[in-house]
Amino acid sequence: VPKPRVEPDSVFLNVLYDLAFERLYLAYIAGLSTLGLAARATLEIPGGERRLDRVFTLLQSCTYSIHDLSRVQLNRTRPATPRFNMPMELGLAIAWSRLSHRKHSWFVFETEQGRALKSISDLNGTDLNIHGGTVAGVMRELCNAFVRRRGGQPNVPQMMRVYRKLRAAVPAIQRRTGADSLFESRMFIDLGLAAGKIVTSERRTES
Amino acid sequence: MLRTIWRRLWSSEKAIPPQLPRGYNTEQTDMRKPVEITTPYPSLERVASIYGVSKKRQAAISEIVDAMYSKRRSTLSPDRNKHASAKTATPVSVDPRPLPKIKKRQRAKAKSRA
Repeated sequence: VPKPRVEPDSVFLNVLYDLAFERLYLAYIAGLSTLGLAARATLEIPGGERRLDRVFTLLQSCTYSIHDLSRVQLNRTRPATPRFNMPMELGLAIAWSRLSHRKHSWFVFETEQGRALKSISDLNGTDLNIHGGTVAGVMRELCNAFVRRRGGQPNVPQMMRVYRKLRAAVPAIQRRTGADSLFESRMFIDLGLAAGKIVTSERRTES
Repeated sequence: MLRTIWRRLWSSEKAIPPQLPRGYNTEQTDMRKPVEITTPYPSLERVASIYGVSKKRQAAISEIVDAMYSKRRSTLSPDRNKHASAKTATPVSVDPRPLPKIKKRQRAKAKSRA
């Protein structure tokens, strides 16, 4: 099996594709783009292959990964079961970072302090990034996770500006793609492109 | 007996640590430190190549964002003009006549109503 090409500025985004998570999903895309990184998600890979293979291939191609465990909750539809996809993908990332020759850094993002450690006690001793379920919190924690010396470190207000612009562009992009939700393959890629364009425009106006 | 126990303990202390698999990243720790991004800010073409998107699609998205910016500029400009004109505009004309005086009776009525 050929190994995927590693992109040095790609971040594997492991989040829940849920309507209630839409704001934070946009925040991650906007925040990462402001930091000069590209968000990647399993959404963008075409189907056909087994899902687990797709996830692992994408994970291998990224230098960083963000695992948001804030939505590991019981869903209401019967039988009530928790969503274990995200902790499982976190496990894959940890294993990959330990066993691979290439450097892979992983981060765990959560809404509440102590909840993830209660459900996954193996993470004890790991510093989690607690964003409190807010967009500004996500931006703050992204700034805590990533430092950029080359080209200047963006701050939270700059990231928030990009987020607002991206949010404003959503209806036009949605109209163009004809997508029902933001969690569609085409939509995700277009959002990533739009965020990149917004960051370029913002940087141009600032300089 | 004691000697054998001591020997075993001594040998276990000196035991060779288990061999890590080849390529095991020993520098990795679980404590999170900020990661330094060493790559430069990606150009739009670079972002498009990461997502494997055609130039046409990239141009279409750029157009949407540019339209949004130009729209914002156009909506902002009248306000800006208004703000700028406020500084230079002549003050609103004020009626030079003095305000009508309220008679004592009217004042008393108003007080009693209150």
